[in-house]
Amino acid sequence: MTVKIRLAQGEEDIDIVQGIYNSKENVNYLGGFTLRTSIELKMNTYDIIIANLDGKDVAASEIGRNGTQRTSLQLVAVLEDYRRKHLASKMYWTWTLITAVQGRLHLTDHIISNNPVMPHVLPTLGFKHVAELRSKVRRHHSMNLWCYDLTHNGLTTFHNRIQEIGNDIEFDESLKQTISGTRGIENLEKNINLMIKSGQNPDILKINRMDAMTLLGWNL
Amino acid sequence: MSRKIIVKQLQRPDAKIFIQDIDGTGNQPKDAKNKINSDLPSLVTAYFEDDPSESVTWGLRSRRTSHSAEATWWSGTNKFLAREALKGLVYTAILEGRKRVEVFDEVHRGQHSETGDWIRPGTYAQLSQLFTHEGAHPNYTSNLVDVEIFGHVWYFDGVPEPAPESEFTLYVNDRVKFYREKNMELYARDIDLYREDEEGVTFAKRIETAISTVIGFDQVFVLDEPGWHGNELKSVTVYDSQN
Repeated sequence: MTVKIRLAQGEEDIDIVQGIYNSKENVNYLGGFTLRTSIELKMNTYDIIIANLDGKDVAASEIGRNGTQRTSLQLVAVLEDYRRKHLASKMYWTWTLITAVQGRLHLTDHIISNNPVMPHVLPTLGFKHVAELRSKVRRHHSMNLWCYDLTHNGLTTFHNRIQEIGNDIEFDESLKQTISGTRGIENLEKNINLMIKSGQNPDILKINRMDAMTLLGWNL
Repeated sequence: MSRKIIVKQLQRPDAKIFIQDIDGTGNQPKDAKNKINSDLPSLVTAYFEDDPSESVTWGLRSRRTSHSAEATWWSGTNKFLAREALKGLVYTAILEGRKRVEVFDEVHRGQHSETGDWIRPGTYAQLSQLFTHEGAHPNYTSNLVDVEIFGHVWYFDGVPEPAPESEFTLYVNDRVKFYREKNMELYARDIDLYREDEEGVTFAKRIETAISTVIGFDQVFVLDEPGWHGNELKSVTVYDSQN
């Protein structure tokens, strides 16, 4: 069954995303009630995507960015009846492809240690556990830092996993807005220069971008 | 006989001495000036009493959370001094009611303005004495510098004891009181921490005990200081006005 992934846009999508985030099974894991304003702000910077299955919007995910190099995965929420269908993985895959087209170096995710799901999911996608920040959050729980390094892995590890779980994803044209202007080719060029300056081979970034464009079905 | 080590939160005149040469290049006076003008009590220096020219300075900054703080290196490489300066930071954090001090330690600090060499302050060795290495992140900074992540959580790691040859002077001013009260309220409201732990003690009580432990050390002098330190001296500069 094909999952359609699109960029969240417009008033109606704010309601949809808020409904998914604040559903009773998700609200606790996302750290409490999410306000419309915060969704709107994220949406205006093209940082929220929605997954649609069988004509119903059932999952949403949002990111932040740290400078030009990193995509920081922030929230992912799936309605309870649609779990165990790899929707979170497919949304993460979408962010990974966009990150590669933008010429970024890696994706990071911060997971609180009592999360029952993500520590099992992330390694299967190629994410590495890079740090455990003890007692980082208000409670005694640790904050675990995970990283998908595009400069070493490329897209291969994650792509292999997507092939296993089913590559039935339809990427909406609206996603192209995430690579416009400074987030596209300009970002790539900046990172290429940074890598050269620090003595690293930047070719992997160009390869990632081409591979991601192909997988997204976008013309070069 | 061991050389006596003085550890203290910097006062404004001292700060001009101990953080002037921040990274060996002297090219970050603006940062230092801002630090002195905003939250000076969070800079902690350790030096030998018989030769203050050898010193190590670490700073504490709180970012957006009150329950943890980030430490940053400002100057010095001596490991003995560093260990005591870092203890001073942990004590400061405890007095503020914090439960974690963390360091995102860059492997180098940029390039020397004259030689072009990477500046390596040797902070990994300093931190390893007292902090737990919690991981690393590749290409973390905007200059693609790797960072090593360290943390000290007194609840798990214990309150470090001062070395016999060290003498600490710490201040409790309105800044410290503000964070302590805020944190105590935070912990009291938290559904997990408010409960008693397996030993029948609440976290708020643990904090109070840790604060008492710091104040109770023979070599630690905790002094009351009225007001927010340095507010009345905002115009003082580290370097000349051109900086």
